[in-house]
Amino acid sequence: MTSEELRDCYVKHRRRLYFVALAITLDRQTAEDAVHNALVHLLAKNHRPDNLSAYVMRAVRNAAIDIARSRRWDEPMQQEFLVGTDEVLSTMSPRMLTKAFRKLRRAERETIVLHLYAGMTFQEIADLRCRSINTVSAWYRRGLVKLRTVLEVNHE
Amino acid sequence: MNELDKVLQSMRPQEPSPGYLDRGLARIDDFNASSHLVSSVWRYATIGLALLFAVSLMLNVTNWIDERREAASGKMFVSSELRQEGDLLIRETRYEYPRIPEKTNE
Repeated sequence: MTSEELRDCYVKHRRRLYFVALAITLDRQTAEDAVHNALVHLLAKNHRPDNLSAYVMRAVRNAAIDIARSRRWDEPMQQEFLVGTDEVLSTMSPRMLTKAFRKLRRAERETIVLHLYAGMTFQEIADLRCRSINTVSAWYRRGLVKLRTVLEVNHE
Repeated sequence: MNELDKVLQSMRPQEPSPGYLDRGLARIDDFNASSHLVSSVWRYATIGLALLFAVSLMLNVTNWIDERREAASGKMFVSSELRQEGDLLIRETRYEYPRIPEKTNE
């Protein structure tokens, strides 16, 4: 892969790549770092994949996992990864929802963020995770149920 | 629409920072610049080594041709004493040494 191809891929899919990393790190700065680290890693590797965008997404995901592993999971959040968009903020704060997201399993959290916010289909997420579409949709359903439970408990 | 759906739809993850795209492109450019430097150093080092090898080979060949020429003109010999000792020692007699005549049984 040439640097021009990677450059084009990054420009075209930068938002989706960011969300792939953000779903794991739950932090904007480290998600951006993960994307950029993955780009450099891919350039150094100089491998020519069949599907470049899928390959780059997987590399970004791995870089984000590496960063998340090197960080203590229970360390205090610098920023909430969610921001409110309207008046629902008054009943549920982004911090509460971020905390609820952190209580989900990584696969469930990733699936919800990528499907709901990055606009990825279950099939695309299944390709990214090398799992079946049924598994991914099960992660999504289970994640929502857990999220609802956590939020109900916190809200009471 | 239940409460959770409303909450999820009313919030969005933080968008990337304004410098996100430029920083990524800068990282790609930096990597290209450094790898270009490394590949240039490698290229010149390889060319230098190849030239050195070629010069050394040329000198060896020239030397070998000179030796063959000297041997053909009788300026080189192997002494019989050294040959009898079993060592394959070859002594060259260069221009400054006079030629030693071969021993005969007479």
